[in-house]
Amino acid sequence: MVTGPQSMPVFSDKTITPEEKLSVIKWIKAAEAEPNLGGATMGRIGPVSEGLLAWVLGLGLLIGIAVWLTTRAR
Amino acid sequence: MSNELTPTDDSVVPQHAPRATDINPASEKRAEQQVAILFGLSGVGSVLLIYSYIFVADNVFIFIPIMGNQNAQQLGIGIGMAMSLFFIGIAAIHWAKTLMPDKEIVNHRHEFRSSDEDREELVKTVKEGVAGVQLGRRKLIKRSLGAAVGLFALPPVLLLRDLGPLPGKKLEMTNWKAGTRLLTDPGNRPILASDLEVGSVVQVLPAVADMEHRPLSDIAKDPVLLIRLRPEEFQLDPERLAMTHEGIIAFSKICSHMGCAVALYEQTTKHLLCPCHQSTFDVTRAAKVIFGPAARPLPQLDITVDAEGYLVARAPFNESVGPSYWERNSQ
Repeated sequence: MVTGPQSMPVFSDKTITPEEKLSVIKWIKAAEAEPNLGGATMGRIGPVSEGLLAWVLGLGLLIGIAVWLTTRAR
Repeated sequence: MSNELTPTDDSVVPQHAPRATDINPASEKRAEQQVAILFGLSGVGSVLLIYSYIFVADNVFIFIPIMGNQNAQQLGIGIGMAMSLFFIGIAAIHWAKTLMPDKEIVNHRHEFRSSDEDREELVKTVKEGVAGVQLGRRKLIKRSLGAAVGLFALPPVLLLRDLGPLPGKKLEMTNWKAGTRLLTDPGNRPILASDLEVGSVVQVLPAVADMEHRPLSDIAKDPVLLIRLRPEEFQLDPERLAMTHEGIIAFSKICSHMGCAVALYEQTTKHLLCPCHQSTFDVTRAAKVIFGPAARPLPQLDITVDAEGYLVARAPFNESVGPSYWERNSQ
């Protein structure tokens, strides 16, 4: 936070004091440690992994069932 | 003229071939057992749901490869529900495909247009109905109907009138006035110009009399972002340049699109990005919109330093902060 590497802006110690910076870090760590009470986390990285699961597995399953529905029984 | 369309040529339809379950009794029995197994799986799912709901504690986590740590009770309820519903459908489909009769049926397609007799009948009925009203003859009814409908329009008008006072000038006002000190948020500390390094960003709020007990509705339009660049990086006309101080420029944080806090500042490109709809503002050109749905640049706050060196606002915002509204006084 202090040096602002690359795109991140600089948050010098006079604008956000070291205690305030520690508070931010503590909050992030606490949020990361929260147990997942919902469904499958899939790595907790967000919409990319969830979208992959939905579009590949979910839609694949649905298309498979649609194809199976319309085939003639032998 | 018949109401049926002529059928198409039947020779392109493939020959009806019997299924294995129609000719082979062993195959038929196997299909029945398969359907029974599928229904049984559905039952297993329902039992799993009930068991998970009642007997599995809600703080147990089990590890499943690929998916990670799963809450055991949620997993049981979810899989149980999915199974119970899914397999009823699969069993029904399998039953229909293998065991139910598969004779081909002809579905006649009739024309949509109604017959001429039906059409004439309709016209006659409507005309009779209209004639039966006889409003011309019944003057008393006509007048009382007019009065009732007329009065009926009044209650909505009366109720909607009371929707609340017009905001008046409140939409244009923020707590920024000439001489208001900029205080860091959080911390409420005044800022010296030398506290900011090139590339740093601070959120500031105006100094008001009681900093501890401001309602959120009062703070809502006040947040301002202070950004420091090198003075030569600005591409501003002189009037806007005079509103900066030694490379420090101040913009309202409230997006001119939908009012979200434009919090992301990219030091390398000098862009401000709003997280809600990705409106991008170029800081070097007075927050000109370079991408996204925002229609106007962010309002710039005129800043300078006071006698002690702390940053203060020189004047209130010269336009309204935040999203548009019809009466907005933008340039």
